[in-house]
Amino acid sequence: MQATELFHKQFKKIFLPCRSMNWFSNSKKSDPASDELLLKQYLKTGDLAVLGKLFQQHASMVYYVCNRYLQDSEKSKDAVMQIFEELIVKVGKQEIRQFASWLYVLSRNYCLMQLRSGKKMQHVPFEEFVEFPDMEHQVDHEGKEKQLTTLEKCLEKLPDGQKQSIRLFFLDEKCYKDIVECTGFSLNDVKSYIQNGKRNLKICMDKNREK
Amino acid sequence: MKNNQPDISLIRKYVNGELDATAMYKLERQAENDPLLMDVIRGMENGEQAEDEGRLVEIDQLINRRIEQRKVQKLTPWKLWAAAASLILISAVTGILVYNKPSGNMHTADLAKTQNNIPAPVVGEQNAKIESGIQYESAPLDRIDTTTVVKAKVPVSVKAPVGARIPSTKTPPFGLNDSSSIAALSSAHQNKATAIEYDPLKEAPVSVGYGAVRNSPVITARMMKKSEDTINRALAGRVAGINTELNEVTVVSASPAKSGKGEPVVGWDKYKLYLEQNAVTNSARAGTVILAFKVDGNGKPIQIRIVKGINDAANQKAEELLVGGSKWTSTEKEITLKIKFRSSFVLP
Repeated sequence: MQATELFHKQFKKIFLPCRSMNWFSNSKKSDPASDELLLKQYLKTGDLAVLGKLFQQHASMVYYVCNRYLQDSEKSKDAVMQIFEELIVKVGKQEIRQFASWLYVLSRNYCLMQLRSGKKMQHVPFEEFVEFPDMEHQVDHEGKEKQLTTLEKCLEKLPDGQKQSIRLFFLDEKCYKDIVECTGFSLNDVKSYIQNGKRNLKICMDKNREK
Repeated sequence: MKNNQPDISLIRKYVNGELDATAMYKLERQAENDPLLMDVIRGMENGEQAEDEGRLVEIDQLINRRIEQRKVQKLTPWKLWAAAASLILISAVTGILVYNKPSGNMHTADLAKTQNNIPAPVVGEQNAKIESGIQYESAPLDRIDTTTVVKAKVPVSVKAPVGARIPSTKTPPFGLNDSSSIAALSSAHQNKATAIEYDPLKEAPVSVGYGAVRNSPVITARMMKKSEDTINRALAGRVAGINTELNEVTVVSASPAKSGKGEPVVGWDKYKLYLEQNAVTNSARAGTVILAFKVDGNGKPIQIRIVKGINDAANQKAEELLVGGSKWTSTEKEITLKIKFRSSFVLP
């Protein structure tokens, strides 16, 4: 019973998003209801000012996403405007349930296309394109003990840097900065170890589940 | 203020290291499961705060400008229709005005308001001094396009012998002087307001008949038929062979040739016709008169001498025909002209 609780704790920490910390939930103005309202208003009236207002509420997000991929502020600024133009074209053609997420995907795809067209394709971490399934429902109570053991085994199989960073981040709830101080790794290494460790754990877990 | 500004502030604080360990972990933990948040954090880490904030201000302005641009472009249908209707109306009014407006280059002169006297022409054996004038505006001759056809509309029909010489002058511009045509024209319209239109920009001496034309190789003088009976009466019995209507006379290559053998400016065909029609003697004796003459710089026959004559009357008639006929192309050589006279003598 204790092992099951420990598994839940560890499993959730590693694979499940922290639902209580929705990025937009504590936003004062990024209100999905407001987004939906503006979107409906735009689709009804076609007034570009409405769409502009909606987009401006997310322009910072779009800009920083572009800057993450393009790594150039000027190019990112141009990309934002191009994305706005794309938005005008596409917004009426697709069913949009959550505008912010939809806009994020639109922005990211635009940037990736830019990189691809410029033959400057760079490495984008795998997990950023793959959403981990909500594995909570896939685990039955009988298999939980077994999966906990598997998780422990998989964790042990990880390279040292990944293992150490994963443990410190997910189990000990240390922030990157603290991990840097504890381990002596650089900040980028810590981030990389955590990302790669998560991916490797998932692969390892999937393999063991198939067996 | 952006919708997500507070989160952006939080991320900025995180990137700047202003958050405590717990808050940092909270955000990092969230970002591990939220690609969007992770991208924003990394995007912010890639740039500089001041630069990024400047870019965001620019983006705001660009979006506003884009929205304004759309507003300008967007016109309600009724506005479009109104604009289109206005344009059509303006075009129609402009078209009517332009169509009805006399050409800016055309001037109307009133013959009744004579200013320049045309020298009285000698027609046949009678002198008819006719005071007339044509009001005109002068334009520099160098503005004349030598390829331009100048049309002078004179509301009169003139009958004149083909080849009848009508000397032209620089002024008035039409060169309507010293000719039977002008005599008829003037007499027929002495007291009438007759409009003469010409293009001052294309002003050039226009001759009726075979008068010289300055700087204009091709000239069309269009004579509009009017008061024909009056003109015929004026010319009847005074000019022999008045049987050609000069409703439209075209003089080609009016400028005399400077070299070569002399020939009538009007061409031999017309000149022969002119002679055939006018070389008539009242005496019973027909025959040939041979004249020899030279041509001066103006194309006028000079130093006329009789090489072979018939009688005094016929010889004088031959000279008159030569002098009253077409101008000649300049040449230094002496020209010999042979005129065959036919007799109009009818036995009683």
